[in-house]
Amino acid sequence: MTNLKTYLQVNPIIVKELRSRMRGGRAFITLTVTLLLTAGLMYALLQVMLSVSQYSYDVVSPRIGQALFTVLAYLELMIICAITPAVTAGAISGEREKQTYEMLQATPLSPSSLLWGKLFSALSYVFLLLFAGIPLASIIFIFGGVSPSDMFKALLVLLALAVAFGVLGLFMSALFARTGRATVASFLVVLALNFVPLVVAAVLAITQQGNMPRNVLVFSPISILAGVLAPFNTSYGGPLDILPIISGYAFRSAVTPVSMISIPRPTYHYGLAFYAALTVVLYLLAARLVRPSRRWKFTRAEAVRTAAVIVIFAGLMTAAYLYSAPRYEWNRPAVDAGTEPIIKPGFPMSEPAIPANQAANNVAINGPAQNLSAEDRAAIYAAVIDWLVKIDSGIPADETLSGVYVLSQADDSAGDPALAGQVAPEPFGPELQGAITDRLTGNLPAPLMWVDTPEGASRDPETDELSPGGLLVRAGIIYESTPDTMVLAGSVEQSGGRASGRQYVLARDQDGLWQVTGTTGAEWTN
Amino acid sequence: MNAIQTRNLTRYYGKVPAVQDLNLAVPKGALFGLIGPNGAGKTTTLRMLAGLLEPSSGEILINDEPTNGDWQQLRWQIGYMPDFFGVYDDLVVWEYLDFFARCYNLPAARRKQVVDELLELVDLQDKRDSYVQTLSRGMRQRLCLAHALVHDPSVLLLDEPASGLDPRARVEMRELLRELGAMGKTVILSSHILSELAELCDSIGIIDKGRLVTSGRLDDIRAHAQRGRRLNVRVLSGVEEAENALRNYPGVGEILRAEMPESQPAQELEVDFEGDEEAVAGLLESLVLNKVRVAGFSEDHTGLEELFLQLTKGEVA
Repeated sequence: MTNLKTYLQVNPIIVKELRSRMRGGRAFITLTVTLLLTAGLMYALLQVMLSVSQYSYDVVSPRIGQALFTVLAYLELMIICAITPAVTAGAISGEREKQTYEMLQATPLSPSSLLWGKLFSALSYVFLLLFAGIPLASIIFIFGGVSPSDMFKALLVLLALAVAFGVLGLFMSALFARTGRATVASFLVVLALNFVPLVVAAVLAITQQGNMPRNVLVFSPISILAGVLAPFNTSYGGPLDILPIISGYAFRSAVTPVSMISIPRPTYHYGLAFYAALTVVLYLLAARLVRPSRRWKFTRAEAVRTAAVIVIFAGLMTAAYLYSAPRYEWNRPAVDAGTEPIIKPGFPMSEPAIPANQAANNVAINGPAQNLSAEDRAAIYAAVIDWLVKIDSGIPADETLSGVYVLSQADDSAGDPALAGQVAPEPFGPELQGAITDRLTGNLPAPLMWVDTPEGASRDPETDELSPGGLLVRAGIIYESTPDTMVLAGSVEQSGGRASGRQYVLARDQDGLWQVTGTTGAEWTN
Repeated sequence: MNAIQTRNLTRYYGKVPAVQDLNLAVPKGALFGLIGPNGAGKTTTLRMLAGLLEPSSGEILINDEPTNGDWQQLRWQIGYMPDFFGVYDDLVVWEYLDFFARCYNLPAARRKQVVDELLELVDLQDKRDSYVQTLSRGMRQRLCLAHALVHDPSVLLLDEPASGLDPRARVEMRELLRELGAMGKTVILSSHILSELAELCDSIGIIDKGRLVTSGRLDDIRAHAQRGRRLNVRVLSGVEEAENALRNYPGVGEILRAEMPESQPAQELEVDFEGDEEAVAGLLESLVLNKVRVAGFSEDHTGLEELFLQLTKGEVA
């Protein structure tokens, strides 16, 4: 508070470090090697993708862009993990070793200025390495497939990790008197943060015969980045499958699950919060460790300042939570499904009824559709019922049917029988029923009959199976992905006890007509 | 007015005392030398005075104000030069000084001026654009001294400023310190080489095993330590009369007749004597009155090194 000018002056440490950092060849050699490595890897991957595309139906231009982006993001993560601790671990201990530390401490330079200056100048070098690779990354734009928000998210996660590892290196540097020890300790912690959660999650998954627990995986930067890159890596044949090192089950588990009934918070949200908290805690500890004396004795002003930092941080986190919660935690339309993936044991996956190239891999859902007109609702249900009867029932077109029974309520258990009894069905009103009937009359191979319960359909009294030639169709609540993309569950049951269900993605085509364009998530058959 | 004063300053490293009950008083403008063998606690004392080390107990007063452990404002009044010199790789001499000037928040215009002035003061103008790591030891030491002066402090704490310097560099350093003394700065420096401090300082403190053995003006210490004088009397004839006359004079202790070769007509007597200069003059007078032919009469000044050894005798292992 002494005077404002003091605060506005450039931090002397930054001036000094920036002056000396780029002198001599080392900085330029590191930069050149990093760029050459990046360029080489991008080129190799491009060649692989191009050669795969000659044989695979699946590899199209956006896929190549997504693969390049995925690999580039992991490459930058590697650069951050390898270089940031090395650059910052010598920041304080180096001053001690060069015996300049006492000279600094004898000046009025505050410990926080020292830390801040060291962190800023070290990170500016790491960021230089990262940003120098952007022209190489621009090859992604030739192929497309990556949205600006994907890029922004990946960049946010990488920058947050760089800051966290930078502060980790600083902390170690302040804790250990020797740069060698500080460097080794920093790298060990970075390595542990990357891989220990993966190993622990794998062990838990094996011993408990389940999926990898996401709450363990969120600590690993590898999983966090996988969470960001999820939109184009969840289906088989996604770019992560091309690189064996970073593909595999661990990755798929880290990816935020997409479910019909809830929208789980993406993995990287938890990861960002964890690393932000780690940054704050390590910074506060390091600020005490760099003091010449009275390290753990707080004056009142210092205690107030430290408390203020913690309160502001907690406030920011709470604000971020409150801002995003309506989209995630508070958006549980039917049941509280937690964050469990929708793939439930006991319901084996069937071959998808829709060709793979038509499958919409994973569709993010923003809650029950609110703004659909009655006409749109009828069109969507009619399109799904039509598809279920004519295509997914597997009944040949020339076979005679005795009746198509349609459940007169929206029931999400159509997409997952495990939900039966847990979700509250929503009855279709008589107007909606009428509109759907109007659209389907004359189009179906048998008359449409509305039933209020599954038992209402004509059944064999002994086996409780549907009478021969009968079909029972159910549909779920309509969820919105985008204003022009909707998702809803549907199932079809036929005589002989056969039944199957899945989630259908529908989109409005150029003519404004709703069409089934794919499926999403898990399927079940019986 | 005292620039620096300590009251029962004590510092323990674990259970080992490095400095114990140190009571120093350095008046403003003084050149004060802290002398002691290696490991005596000189560096610990200076680091505490610079606010880099917290005392285990005791008090430090800077310009008669107690510090109470709050050093932020005091850093502008104290310049500290450690007993080693830290080099920043890849910085040139003027940038090195500019960096420390920035640490003291000097405004840009003033910074440039200060750097030029200091380079002139320590005679490094020619090395302005040389890398710091290429300087010789003497130059580094001077640069290090310059860094402690960027904020024009009133008190300078210099830890072994002359150690490891060749004779020429030592002379240059001595000139530099004299110049600082002439500028009115209070300088406290430490050394284990006494002859240097004797030439430079007007007062010294002798420290051993963490305790201040004695401190004060050099002459006072000398007198206090010797508790008397040793007089050399050279007599051409009448040695017996001389001895008799001396024995009758109050304050005279032991008299030794130095062995002289036969061919030498003169005899030399070593006389232990307690008394002030008036008494010394009286002694000579009585010799002359007793018809002793005195050829030489002098006081034996014990060397500082001897004094130092005498004061720390038996305590240095």
